[in-house]
Amino acid sequence: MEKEKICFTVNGEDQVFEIGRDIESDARLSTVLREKLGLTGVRISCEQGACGACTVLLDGKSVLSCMMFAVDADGREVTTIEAFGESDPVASSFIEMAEPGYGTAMQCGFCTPGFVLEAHALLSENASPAKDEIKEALSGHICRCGCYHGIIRAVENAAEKIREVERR
Amino acid sequence: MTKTVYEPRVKRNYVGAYRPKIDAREKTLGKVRFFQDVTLGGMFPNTIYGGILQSPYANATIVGMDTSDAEALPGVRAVLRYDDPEIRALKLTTHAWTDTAVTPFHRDTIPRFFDRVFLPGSAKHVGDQMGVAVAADSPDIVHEALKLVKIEWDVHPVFLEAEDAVSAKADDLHPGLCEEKNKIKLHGDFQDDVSFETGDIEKAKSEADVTAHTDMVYGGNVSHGTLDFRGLLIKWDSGRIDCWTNHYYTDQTRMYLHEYLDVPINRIRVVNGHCGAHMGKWNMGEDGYYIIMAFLAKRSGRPVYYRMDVHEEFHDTRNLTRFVIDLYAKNDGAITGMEIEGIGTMGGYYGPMEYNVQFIVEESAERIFAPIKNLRVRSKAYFTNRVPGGVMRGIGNLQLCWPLLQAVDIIAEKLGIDPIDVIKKNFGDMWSPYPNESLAAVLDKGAELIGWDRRRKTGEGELIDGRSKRGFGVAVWNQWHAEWQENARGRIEVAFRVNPDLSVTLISPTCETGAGGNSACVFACADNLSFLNITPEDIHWVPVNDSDLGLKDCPPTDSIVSFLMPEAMPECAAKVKDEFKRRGALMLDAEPDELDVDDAKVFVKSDPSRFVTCWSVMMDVDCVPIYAHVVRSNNKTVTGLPCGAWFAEVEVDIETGEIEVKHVVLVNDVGQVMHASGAESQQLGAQELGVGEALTEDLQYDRRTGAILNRNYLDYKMLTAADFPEISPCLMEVWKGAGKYGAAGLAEAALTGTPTAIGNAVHNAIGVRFDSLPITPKKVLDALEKKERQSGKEER
Ligand code: FES
Ligand code: FES
Repeated sequence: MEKEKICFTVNGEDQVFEIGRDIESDARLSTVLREKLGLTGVRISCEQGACGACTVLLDGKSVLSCMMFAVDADGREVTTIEAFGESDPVASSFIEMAEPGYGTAMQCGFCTPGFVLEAHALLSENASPAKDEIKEALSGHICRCGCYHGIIRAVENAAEKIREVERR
Repeated sequence: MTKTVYEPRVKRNYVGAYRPKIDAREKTLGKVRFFQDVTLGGMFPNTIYGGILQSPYANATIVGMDTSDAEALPGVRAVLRYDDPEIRALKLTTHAWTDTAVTPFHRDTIPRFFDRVFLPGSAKHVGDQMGVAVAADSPDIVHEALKLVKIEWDVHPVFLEAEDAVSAKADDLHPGLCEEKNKIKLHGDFQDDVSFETGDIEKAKSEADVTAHTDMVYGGNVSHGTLDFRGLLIKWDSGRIDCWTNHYYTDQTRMYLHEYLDVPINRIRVVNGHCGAHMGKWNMGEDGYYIIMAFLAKRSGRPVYYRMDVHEEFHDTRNLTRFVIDLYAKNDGAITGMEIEGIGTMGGYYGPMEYNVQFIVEESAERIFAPIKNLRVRSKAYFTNRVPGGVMRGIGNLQLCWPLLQAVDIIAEKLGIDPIDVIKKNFGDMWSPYPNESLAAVLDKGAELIGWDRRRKTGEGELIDGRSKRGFGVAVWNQWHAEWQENARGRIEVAFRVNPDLSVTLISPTCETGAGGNSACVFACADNLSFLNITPEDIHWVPVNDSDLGLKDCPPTDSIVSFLMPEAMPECAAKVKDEFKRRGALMLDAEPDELDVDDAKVFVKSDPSRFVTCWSVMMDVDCVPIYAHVVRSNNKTVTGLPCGAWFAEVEVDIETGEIEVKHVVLVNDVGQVMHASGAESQQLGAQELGVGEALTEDLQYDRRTGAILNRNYLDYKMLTAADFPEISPCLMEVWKGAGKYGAAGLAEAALTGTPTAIGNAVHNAIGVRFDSLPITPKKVLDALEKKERQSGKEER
């Protein structure tokens, strides 16, 4: 029998939804995060799994929230960009990027939260990714502003910051 | 990658610095609100959703429509049909209405052609928004209702090529609007399509030692591909219209609503905020949906939310332009004459094709190939059933650079002269001294950065791993938009509000699309208010444009906001200073003229020990902020234009046909770097399109139906981090405009020469030229095979 209620944590807080009342059984996770919880850092674009703008973390791994039913998040931990502040090493590396030759890590900023979360997923598995590994990990994301050089550099800097903290 | 830290001509505290964007924090942490967030949070109760039928046919007319099932569907609030009297009473519209035109009637910045009907009864391309529009309680109901509309169609044969547009079989797509069937009447009185002629082309031709011929197409197969889809939320009740949108130009959107809906301007409010990189898509002609949604809002009495879907977003493209070019040159590399024929293949609607086939050539004759004196230009353009082309980042310039700089490459090769020398000899603008200093500077710098001395003669490049051939290519073009060229844009408004705590609210209204004009504005504001010890962190740039607030916004085309608004700031800062002196005079018992302001103090010039702090001027009296407002006309002094140079190094795998772009170097003289990190970001980011259009981006048509087969992000291949090549951006300040800063545009120019440099590099590697893009592995293999067959024949 279909579950009547689902529960998952979002950015550390429990969220309970009654199917048919709070959300439909076929509601996308992206829709629920945005429309029920107001988490607008989750961006909606292609809704075809092609651009990565809607990326969130599910138990620490990156997923495309437009391609997932909210009911499938039942019992899991969802993390969105709203969980991070500017002291986060990945976020701060994106924010600070202004190194000559690399431009910036964003222009319009529409895609940026998706890249930040993808970088988190990568760095939690691989603390010292090679440049090609970073490129590969980010290759499911489109930045039409083309800020890839700044983004890749920001991820390298974030990795260095994390290693630095761990060394201390 | 070679990092080049540019040398600023004038060292300033903030303008021109390598610094993060002013909104990097909000953007990174997802705090920037985009249009898609407008319905969240309950700000607009009772909002319903709008949608418009997208024609399944490329060339068809509705002969019967039954909307009764759609109207009866629960949740449907309003249905608007093509035969609705109110809709039919609307006059025609044009593609460029809500773009940079200054008023509806005068001083268009781009040619217009009134060929668009609101909610038409016939379709001119697949995906044409036409026939019927619906507003309903949810997007799903809208979708369902549109499916329930029964339509009887009269379907006609499809034609997609300019050659077919005038054939007897082709329908006349715009009866009465063309001089011949489907061939538009361009501005001017032409004989034999000659739109422009100077000097004596026949003489140049007969005296030429060497000639080059190219016949190449560019465009028609690429998409803006931006992630933030276009849309609006609109309310129309009690005689007032309120509209929230991600359109990049609130004031012109308001003018548009006023023009077609006959509502006084002060009863129309248009608000925008951030918009995801637009790449020119606001000038594509579908803005008719603003009017359609307004009617749905009026009829339903509800706010209506409309946002394009992915297919609608893919039904636009860069204008498809074919140029046939003949260059005539002397043995020393001097190009004495050029014949150009521009043939535009429009879609079902105009797009500013006239710009592509006519005006850009005339403009470029002044701006970039002025030393070539004998010219003949032919221009023509035809309607077809393709999706409409129009403005896309780099409009017109990319299409012309592609065949022209390859023709120059051919001349250089035939004469055995370095293409750089041929370019220096024949390019530059008509206003600057010859030879052009900016051109030489960017070419020399670029040659150094790419390692041009490693370039070999065509086909003689190094063979790598026994299968890849290396090649180098170059292209040049003028930078876009110096201040003097922006007169048609009208006056620029800027305001500073210095608050009682000496923090500053900066009103330099523009939509932040990623072009970064807001960062440049904040840095210029801080520099100009340095007498208050203001830093960028003390300044809040207002990120929302609200037409009710009164300042006219400046649309972020190219990167003009980065310098046009800062040029107004010295005057704005002077007004702030005057007001401090006026207020300080009352406290110091002196005349304002006797005072000056520095280090956040108002002091007596002759006795600086007599002072009051600016803080006490503000706080001790009445806490009324100082508000300074400037409306500035651009400086019209003609200063010519700076140049950009693009270099590419490629390796072509002769077994797989794959092209690897090893390195792109672009050197742009921008007069004044307004924000170094933002400018470099534009140089780098533009290669998303520059390299993407050269190698992978390609909309594919079903030639029988006229439908685009890959109108989505999965099947239309854009570059990702994994595909991006090494790019070395280099900024220069050689030329200078007339203003205090004297900067030029960068964002549009930054991709102009990339595809051409890659095309020339591929030719240098394997001795084959391609007449269209993208250069796919299949095209490479086919061309190599053909070349081999031909050389085999020759040997036999
Ligand atoms: S919106 Fe989910 S991948 Fe594009
Ligand atoms: S910053 Fe604009 S899409 Fe990535």
